[in-house]
Amino acid sequence: MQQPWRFVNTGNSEPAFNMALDEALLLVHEAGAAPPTLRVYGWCQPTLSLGYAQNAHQEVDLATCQSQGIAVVRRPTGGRAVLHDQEVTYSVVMPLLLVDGPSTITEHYRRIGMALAMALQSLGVPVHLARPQVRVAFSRALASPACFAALSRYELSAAGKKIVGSAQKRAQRALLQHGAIPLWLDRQRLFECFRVPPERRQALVQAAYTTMGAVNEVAPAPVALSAVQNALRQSFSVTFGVELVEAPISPEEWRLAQHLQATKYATDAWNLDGAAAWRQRQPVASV
Amino acid sequence: MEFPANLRYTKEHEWARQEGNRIVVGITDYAQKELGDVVFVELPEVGTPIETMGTFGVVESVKAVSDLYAPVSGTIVESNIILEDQPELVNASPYGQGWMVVIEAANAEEFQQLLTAAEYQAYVAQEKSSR
Repeated sequence: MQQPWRFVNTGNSEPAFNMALDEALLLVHEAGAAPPTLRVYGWCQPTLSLGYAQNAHQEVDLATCQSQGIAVVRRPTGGRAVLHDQEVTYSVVMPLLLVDGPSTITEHYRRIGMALAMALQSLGVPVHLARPQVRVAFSRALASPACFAALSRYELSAAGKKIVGSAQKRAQRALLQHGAIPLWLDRQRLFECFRVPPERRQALVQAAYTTMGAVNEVAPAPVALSAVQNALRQSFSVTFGVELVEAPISPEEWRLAQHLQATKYATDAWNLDGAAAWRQRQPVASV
Repeated sequence: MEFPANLRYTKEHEWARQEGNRIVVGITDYAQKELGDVVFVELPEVGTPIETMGTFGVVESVKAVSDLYAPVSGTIVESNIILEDQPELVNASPYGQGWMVVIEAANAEEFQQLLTAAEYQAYVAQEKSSR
């Protein structure tokens, strides 16, 4: 048995804190001061999270988001936008070095994908891992701004629809992967967040009925949020051959998360203007 | 997969080429294949001081956002800004047009301490195999 992992359920938090804590968990684990961690969490308000390099000013209808009470936050990870609402959100922080298999990006995706699939299958949700040879042509200009619109390698689908959207950040010795497992999906509301012409918006919403799914749209019986969270703890334990011990966030992690929240994830510079603009405004080299 | 013998490498999958006191840096053929289609590259401005193994930028692919690590310390003297508009060059030509930065090395000995092609190739083989 390897070193135990930590399991932590941090409940619903502010969007900026959620992203700050995920980054703090990565940084502290990278520094060797925390175990690998599976975190489950939620959002205290509906939130549109953007990928690291997405252009908020061009792609997001900020006025509509504000009037609808939808917060906007930029993730430390890549990919496209996710509307977090009525979902289970997970994050995994773990070493790049796997002791029982190849330590490649593909293998990390495959293993985490297996754990996610096992959790949902245990609840009767008929999910599949996308096959590795599936190659999604990517064009930033033509692609949907929504993460759930495209299925990538080792992502989960049910009835041909993407049902878990995940994104990854890789540091020197550790990785952060976080993702959304929607229990329900409001496709209209999702695409109202984007700056697209009305006719294209309706086309995107219609397409989303065939490309995006949610757990309770395909589960044989209603699945509760806590059931998914518990199933994740079990399935990560089995998949990675480790015990998952419930333990709190350390004071060091809290302090770093609060610092990152104040200086990064709660700022318009990071969330709206982007990573490069935020970095330029830092007084000194920063995390 | 290419491992040019005239380059040196890091375990973080950067390559380095020495041109006098200037070190040209990019990510390896193995790294670009692992990452998949690169969609975004963020590089430092010329004049930025950099420490050995300090992060000098970010590359985003369809799979992940990855930090970029400087093989040697010094000062950024060139940044391949073409990659901002054509990040796919990292996939198409990782050792050529996909170069990322040039570092004016602070200490010439640091380059000699990087992995040789054979050492890096062995490291990649180990990373890909079961341990």
